[in-house]
Order: sequence, then C-alpha cells, then structure tokens
Amino acid sequence: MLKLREVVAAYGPIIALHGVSLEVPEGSVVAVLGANGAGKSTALRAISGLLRPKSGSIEFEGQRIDRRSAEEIVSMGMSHIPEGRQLFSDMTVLENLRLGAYSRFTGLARSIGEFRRRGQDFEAALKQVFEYFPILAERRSQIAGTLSGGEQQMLAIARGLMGNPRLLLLDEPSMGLAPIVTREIFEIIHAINRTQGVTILLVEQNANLALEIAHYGYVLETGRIALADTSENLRKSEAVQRSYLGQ
Amino acid sequence: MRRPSRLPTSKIVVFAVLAFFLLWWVPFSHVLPEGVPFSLGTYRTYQASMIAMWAIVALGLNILTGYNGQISLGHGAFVAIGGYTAAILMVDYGWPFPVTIIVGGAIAGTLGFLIGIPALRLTGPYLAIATLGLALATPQILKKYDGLTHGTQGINVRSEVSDQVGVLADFMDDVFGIHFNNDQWVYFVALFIALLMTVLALNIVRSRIGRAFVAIRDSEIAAQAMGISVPRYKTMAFAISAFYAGIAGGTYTQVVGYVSPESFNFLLSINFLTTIVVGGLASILGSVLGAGGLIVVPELPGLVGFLPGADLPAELSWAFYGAALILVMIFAPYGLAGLFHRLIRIRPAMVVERLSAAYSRSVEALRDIRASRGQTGDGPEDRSS
Amino acid sequence: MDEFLQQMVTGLATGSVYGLLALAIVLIYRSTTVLNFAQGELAMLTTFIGWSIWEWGGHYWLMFPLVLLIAAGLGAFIERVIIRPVEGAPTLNIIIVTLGLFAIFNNVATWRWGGIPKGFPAPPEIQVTGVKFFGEGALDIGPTVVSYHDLTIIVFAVGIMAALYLFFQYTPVGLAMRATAQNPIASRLMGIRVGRMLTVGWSLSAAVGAVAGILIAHLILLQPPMMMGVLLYAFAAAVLGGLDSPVGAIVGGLIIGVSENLVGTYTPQEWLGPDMKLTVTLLIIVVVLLIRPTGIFGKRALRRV
Repeated sequence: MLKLREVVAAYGPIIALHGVSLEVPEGSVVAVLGANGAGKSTALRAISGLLRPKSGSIEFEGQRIDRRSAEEIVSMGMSHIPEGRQLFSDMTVLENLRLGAYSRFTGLARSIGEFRRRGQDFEAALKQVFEYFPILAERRSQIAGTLSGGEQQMLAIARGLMGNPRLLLLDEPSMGLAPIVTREIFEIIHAINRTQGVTILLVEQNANLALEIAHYGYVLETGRIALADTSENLRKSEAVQRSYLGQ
Repeated sequence: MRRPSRLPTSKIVVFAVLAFFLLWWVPFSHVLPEGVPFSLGTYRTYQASMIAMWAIVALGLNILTGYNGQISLGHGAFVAIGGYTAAILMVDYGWPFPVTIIVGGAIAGTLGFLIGIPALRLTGPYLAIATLGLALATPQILKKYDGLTHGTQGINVRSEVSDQVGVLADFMDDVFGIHFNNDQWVYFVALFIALLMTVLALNIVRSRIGRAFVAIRDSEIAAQAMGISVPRYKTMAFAISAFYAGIAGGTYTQVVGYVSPESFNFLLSINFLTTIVVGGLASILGSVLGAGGLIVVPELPGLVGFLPGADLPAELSWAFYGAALILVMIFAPYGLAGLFHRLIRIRPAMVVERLSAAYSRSVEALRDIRASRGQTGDGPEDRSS
Repeated sequence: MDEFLQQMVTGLATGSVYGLLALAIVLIYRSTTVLNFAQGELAMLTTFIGWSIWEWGGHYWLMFPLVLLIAAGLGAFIERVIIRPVEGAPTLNIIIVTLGLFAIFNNVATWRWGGIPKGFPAPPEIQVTGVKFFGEGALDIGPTVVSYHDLTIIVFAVGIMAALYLFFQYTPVGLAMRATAQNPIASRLMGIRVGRMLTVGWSLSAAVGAVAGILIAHLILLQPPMMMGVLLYAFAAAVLGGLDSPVGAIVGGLIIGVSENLVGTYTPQEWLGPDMKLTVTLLIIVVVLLIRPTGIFGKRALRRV
C-alpha cells in the first residue's frame, strides 16, 4: 500500500534520511524503531507531505505522493497523527473531531440529500470513534487542552480516524504517557487494525510494545535502515534485544 | 575568532572611496563646473546631514530591536526630547550647541531607561503598540505644555546656530586656515557625531553587553539560565537606544534649525522602524543603509523622470516608496545589508560582522525544520548579522 | 446627566467603529501574528470607491454590498499577490510590507480623490410600521436625545459582530479558519488548505474594515487622512482587548470610544482636557497592559524554552 524508495530528506543542508526504502503492505501494522534523532519522525513527515523529500519516491496505493502537499495527501485516505499530538487545544473534543472529518466533507453539498447524508456519515464516524474511546464521549464538550495526557492521545487518534483513512501514521503515541495508559492505547490501535483493516505505520521508541502489535518492523539508525524483518524475528534478534529492548 | 592579519586591498579601496565621498564629494562637489555628472548641490549636503542624523537614530533603534529584540514604535519621542532640550537650552539659556546635544542625549537616555522598566512587562506587538502610544502622545504633550516648549509655534534656533557655527568657522579659519561655510561645517559636525556614534555602536555590539543583548533576544529563559540579568540588560538597551535618539534630536536642531511639535509625529517613529528593517536588522551597516534609503528613495521618481519613457507623476512618489518597500521585503528579506553582503563580498573595516557560510546554512536548516513544524519564520536566525 | 448619557452614546458609536477596525486587525493577527498597518487606508480606499458609486447615481443599499464585495476582493488579492511571497519571513518584514501598502493606498487615494473633503451619505431612512430606522435626526430616549446616526453605527456594529460569531462558531469554514489560526500544522493534516483560509481571512478583514470606513465617513467628512486616527485607536483597542480575542477588540473599542469622550469633557481643562484626550486614553491603556500584559481577554503567551 505504501512504498518508499531511496527517499532522501533534509532540513536545509542537514540530511535526515539517507535513501530510505520501506514497504507497508495493506492491512498490516509496520513498526519503525530507532533512537532519538534516527529520523523516524522525519520519515513520517516526508510521507504525509509536511516535508518535501530531496529525492526518491513515495507511492501510496500506486500513486506518487512525494511531490504533493499535505492537504492533498490527507484527502487521499491517509492520516498522520503527529508527534506531540498537535491538538487544537483551545477547542472542544467535539470540535477537534469535527475537524478530523473536514477532508471528507469539504465543498458545498450539491443537494439536500447529500447534506443529510454527510450528517449521517459524520454521526456514524463519531459513533465508531466513541466505541473505541468511550471516555471521549463523556468529555465531548470539554476543552481539549484540559484533558489528561492519555485522553489527549486518544483524542488525537480518534481525530485521525474521523477521516476514514485507509492508512494511519502514528508518531510516538506512547510519548509522555504512563505505562498502563500506553498499554490501553496500544490495544486499541491493535483493535483498529484487526477489526477495520486499517493499515498502520507506527513510529515508536518503545520497541517492546510496538513489536507486540506489529507484523513487520524496520530499525532506523541515523537516517538509514539498519534492520528490516518480521516482528517475531526482530524480537529474537540479539542486536535489537541489546539496543532497544533493554535486555 | 580569526582576525585578518593585514587589510586586504579591497578594504583599503572601499575605505578610500568612502572617505573621498563623505569628506569631499558631498560638501564640495557643487563647485565643479556644470555638467559634471553626480555633482551635488548644497541641498544635497543638507540631505546628507539628514542621513547622518537618521543613521544615528537607526543605530540606536537597531540595538534595541535588532540586537535585543524589543520593538519600539515610539523613538520619535526620544528624538523630540533631545531636539527640544537642545533648542530650549540654546534659545532660552544660551548654551553652546555641543553641550546641548549631549544634555539632550542624556535626558533622553534617562527617560529611555525609565520607560524600559514598564516595558519589561510587555512583549512583541503589545510593546510595539504601547510605544506607538508614546509617539502619538508626544505632539500633544509638546503643544499642551507650552510654557516650556513654546507650544505650537515651535522654537527657532537658526540665529543661535549660525552664530555658534560662525565662531567655529572663524576659529578653524584663523588657526588652521580652513575656509568652509556654515552649511559645510554643520554637515561636518553631523558627520563627526554620526561617525562617533557608529564606532560606539560597533563597540557595544561586539562587547559582553552586545552578546547579552543577543542572548536575551534569542531566548530570555536561556539567557537567564546563563546568569544574564534580563531586566538589567533590557532596560540598558532601551536607555542606549533612547540616548542615540536624543543625540540625533540635538543634531537635528543644529541641522534644521527649528523644532516644532509636528516635526516629531508618529509617522517619524514608524519610519525609523522601516529604516532598520529595510536596512537590515542587527546590522550596523544596515542602520546606515536604511537611513540613506529613507532619504534617497522618495527622491528617485524625480530622478527617474530624466529617463526617456518613464512617466511617473510626482504626486505618486509615496506610492513608489511603498512599492519599493514591498519589493525590498520580498527580494531582500535580510534587508539592504543582507543584499550587500551577498552581492559584494567585500568587508570594509567598519563592517566586520560575519555572515559566515556556516551561519547561513544553519539558518536554512532551522527554517526547514520550522516550516515542517508549522511555525512562522520569526526566529532569531532570521536576522542578518 | 443628559450630557453624560449623550457622551456615552456618542462614545459607544465611535467606539463601535474603532471596535470594528480593531476586529479586522485581530482577524489577521490571529492567523498570522501580523499587525496590518494598511487596515485603515484600505478601508478609506474602499469608502472612496463607495463614494464614487454613490456619486455616479447608485443607491445607498446598492453601494453598501458592492463596496463589501470589492473590499473582499481587494483583501483576497492583497493576501494572494503581495503577502503570500513574504509569508514565511519574520513578522517585522511583513509589517513593513503593510506599511508599504499604507503608503500606496494613501497616495493613490489622494491622487484620485484628493482635495476638498467630501460628504458621505448616511443610510437612508426606512419606515417599518411607523417606526423609523436609520436616516437623519435624533431620537428621544428617556431624558436624553440621541442622534440616529450614532444609533445606526451601533446597530450595524452589533449586527456584524453577531454575524461573524455565527460564522466562526457554526460553519465548517469558520471552524477551519479558527483551526488554522490556532495550529496551522495540525490544520494541514486535517486537509485544510491553510493558504485559502488566510485568503478568506484577509477578505473578511477588508470587508469589516470597509464597513467601519463607511460608517464613520458620514460623521467625519470623507478625505484621505480620514482613517489614520481611527487606525491608531483601533490598534490601541485591539491591544487593550487582547490581540487574539475578537470579543476583546470590540470591547476595547467601546472602552476607548467612551473614555475618549469622557476624558475630553470631564477632566480639568487647564492641564488635561480635550487637547490631551488621546494622551490620557493611551495612558489608561498602558496601565491596563501593565496589569494584564496580553490585554483584557488575551491569553497568556506560552513561553517556549
């Protein structure tokens, strides 16, 4: 579903990705691991269009997206849940969710029928998201900035789901969260993949949790792919165990 | 930091050209026969004095805004204080003009320090508008308290100035045999003051104080963590920039010979900000270039009229100025100084700030990072050095 | 007491105009942190265009929406063509660009319409079931007499604020614009075309400014320097209310309008009085800012370490 080929990405003269190639098969969960500064977030930004690659190609469902803007890419069925969540902290939970659905409902409705259908679609998406994250239903009128860390992460994921994406890019969902909350969120992420078939590209420093729910994994080291294997093999590999699993 | 072990020839050449231009061409070229290109009339000498004055204000304001990051739209008030102090002391008390200029600067500087204290509470646009209020209030205050300020009619110092300058001219003539007329002496005095203030600015900027200013601009919290007293240096920056404006005001009194409440309106203060941004923030050269631009650019439509086919009505000269401002901002975001550093890789001794390659590369990198994070380009790296 | 009430109403009327222009300023500041110094001159320019339409024979209620449309178009054009190239530059650079626009608009208006100040019409009278709306003259309200035009201004201002509130709270575009102002990165990830939102913002801002211009032109003859004083008061109002708060802009404007009038009338004429009303008003604002450095309704800025 997603193919990166020899992608080179830089911030000015500082090269962050030195020709990265990876693949995310449809319906799978793929983890990208690595230490701080390895280039994991950069890779996601290059994919979602926030950062334009210097060279290489990125294909989504057969179409080239490396020259497209983030706004276009989102409407193609991809959702990027960024590092640090980037919520609209002064808006309510519901408004954040509404904005998540923005890409589905732009443009004037061409008829009353379409207008009604959009309303129904929105309600349906809302309902599903509340099934995954019941706490958000409770807090729907609360200002996003006042939620707890875990709830904010849930809102960020929920917001990303509102656009009905086929591919979800998750950037360090565990960041700043307590272990119990992190586990809960990872279970939900796993469920999203299993029940809805949403493909997931997961960037994480917490290799243990990531490999538990992933099918495949890539290890990035200073902008290059160091390892690529099934998650089972990665968990068994000595190198990974030493560097990332704390064994 | 490497210092050049000997001056390269290019620097000497530029120095010589500058010296020739400032010391001979500006005040004297009108004696050349008609038709010599670029000979300047006496009006141009006056304008050169204006450029010198505004350069002084720009230097001070650049220290406050470019190097220290505090935006002031109110420096016209400090110029007014310097100007009025000098005028009142000369006319009502008969003081000699060098003293009045210094006193004007000192009073303005003190007031700048006092204003710098509440300014500590305000940031960015809030500080800008509060200082704009200061600029707005100045003409009203000057008109209202006319017991001291002679009110709306202003203060005319021309006779005092010409008397005193006459004394100087006679002295120089008798002792050194130099015959200049009063206009030329006024110009040289203004030039001398401007040069003094420029050297002072260079020293401030390259000293511990200057580095503290920049550290505070880039991150107050980090500066504090490094042991820099933020309130102390911020108020110092205000005081210094107000001092500069006051000196410029005193000089204004000599050059123009007349001060009135309307001479120092808010448009003046806004023009100062334009001057340093267009000239180049955090750049000594930029301050001077910006001041030059302020005086020269509105004249250009008149000059352009000599070109065949150019048909710009004189009434639209300010529209032209506005368009020029916009174009400069689009094509020279680091100001004229930035352009200068890019186009001519000469560094006259006066301008040793380095726009090194490494610096500009890190600027690029930071800009890309910020863009991908959605921040606007308002960081410290966006200033020219 | 009569006089006091009259001063209050006049103050509220001029304050509404300041508030509207301040609102225009805040709309742009919120999404771009730019102080648009050309706001007043643009309003003046569009008011002159309205005057030409009216001169040529257009009815007031034809001219009004036409001017709004033209203003919106101009605002969009400015954002797209002039501001877009410098959007990533430091804020001060963009402010200088707006100053350049200030010079251009002022000069062009003087060149085209300069000379004698012109009269500008008030909204013509409308009678609804015997009740008179708009028009000239005065209305008896309790113990005092209030001018119709002052009331007109207040009514218009309230109407616009209400419309904008509804727009921003309850429409998708309004929501998207609020999102863009708050977090442009996240907005892009929602599929919002940030550039387009900025264009809409500038359009709206220009239209709101145009209304301010039209409303005040009747009170203080139409001439090129007309909006300069208003602009300065509008900046003061926006800052007083908090630069990221539209409500603050309106409230700030009203406070300034009223206090300007009251200071002019009720302070000792000897050493304050009407000659110093601007100074005193500004002093009040500075004092408020010292207490609340980001304005009455402004949010405390986050300090990024």
